[in-house]
Amino acid sequence: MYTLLSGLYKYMFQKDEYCILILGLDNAGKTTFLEQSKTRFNKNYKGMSLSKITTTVGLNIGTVDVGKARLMFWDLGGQEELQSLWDKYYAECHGVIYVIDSTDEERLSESKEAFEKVVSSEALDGVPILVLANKQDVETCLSIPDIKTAFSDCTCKIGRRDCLTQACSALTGKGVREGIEWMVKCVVRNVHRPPRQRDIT
Amino acid sequence: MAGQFRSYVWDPLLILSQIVLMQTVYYGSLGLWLALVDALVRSSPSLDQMFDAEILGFSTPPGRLSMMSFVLNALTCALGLLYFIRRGKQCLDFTVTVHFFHLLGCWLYSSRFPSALTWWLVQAVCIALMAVIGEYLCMRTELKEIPLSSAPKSNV
Repeated sequence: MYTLLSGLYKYMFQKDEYCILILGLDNAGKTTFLEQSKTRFNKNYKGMSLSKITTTVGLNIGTVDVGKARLMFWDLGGQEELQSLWDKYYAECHGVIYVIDSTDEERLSESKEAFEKVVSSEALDGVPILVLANKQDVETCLSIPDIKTAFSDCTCKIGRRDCLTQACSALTGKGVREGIEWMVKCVVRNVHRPPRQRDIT
Repeated sequence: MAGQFRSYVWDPLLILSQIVLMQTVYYGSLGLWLALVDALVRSSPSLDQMFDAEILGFSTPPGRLSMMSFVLNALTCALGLLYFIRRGKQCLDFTVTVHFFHLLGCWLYSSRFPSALTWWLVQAVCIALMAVIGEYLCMRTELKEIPLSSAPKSNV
């Protein structure tokens, strides 16, 4: 009877799991965004100091509970050599967060090229994309209209999927909660990518 | 239960069926044991022997016969665990479930919660016997070698 009742409990209370990729060039602030998300949404989480975050080699994994959904963040390394690994994760993800460094005007075209590859991938068809213009706390940063202008070539490739451009600062946490809540709404609504089915044992 | 190797997915219908089946095995074999023991000593069988908590005891012959039947029943129900549950770690779970329903049955039958210490001791011994023997038998089955091919080994 214990097996029956504990399984029933898990069946009623388990949350849907969604995998979210965090992509972007190196030094755009992906891991800082992940740390800020974990700090914001997990009550007892004591994150590492944001100033100690270094270059990601491989990936970081974080889990966040938002309402009825559980988000599993896969924070992938953004260096040139590591970008070839991104497409290995496309088939299993439910959403993509693309982080742009608003203060790095020189590499904006490079970021646009990487974004174009992400958006053009067939494996990401229909997957909602949240574009974060990070480091908005810096005085000299580019504004959202400027970034949208720079990325206007990619607009036709986005197609019929959900897309939102959000100003944010991973350091201060501004815009992080709004972005994630929008992403949760989109992945829950997306019927083409059902949540991961974890077997109850 | 899926047929794959070590696959185990929570299946409420299967678990409910197993609970009902184990209860059937429990009362079926208990009935057989009581009938056999009663036939040996030429006394008439009665539902009191199953459900009356007061009747169990060392002092009276019917009490001793019932106790013996319960203990023997634990052994046969261990075989039931082996054939119908087949998983060692679930034996204790199903054993306690069976005896819990028996407790409810005794309660309903007598309209009185079983308070005789002897009854509780007998149930505890039966739970221990049934769970331990059942788990041992299941584990022995689970630890058998898995044949990978029917072809005989080649002498290289």
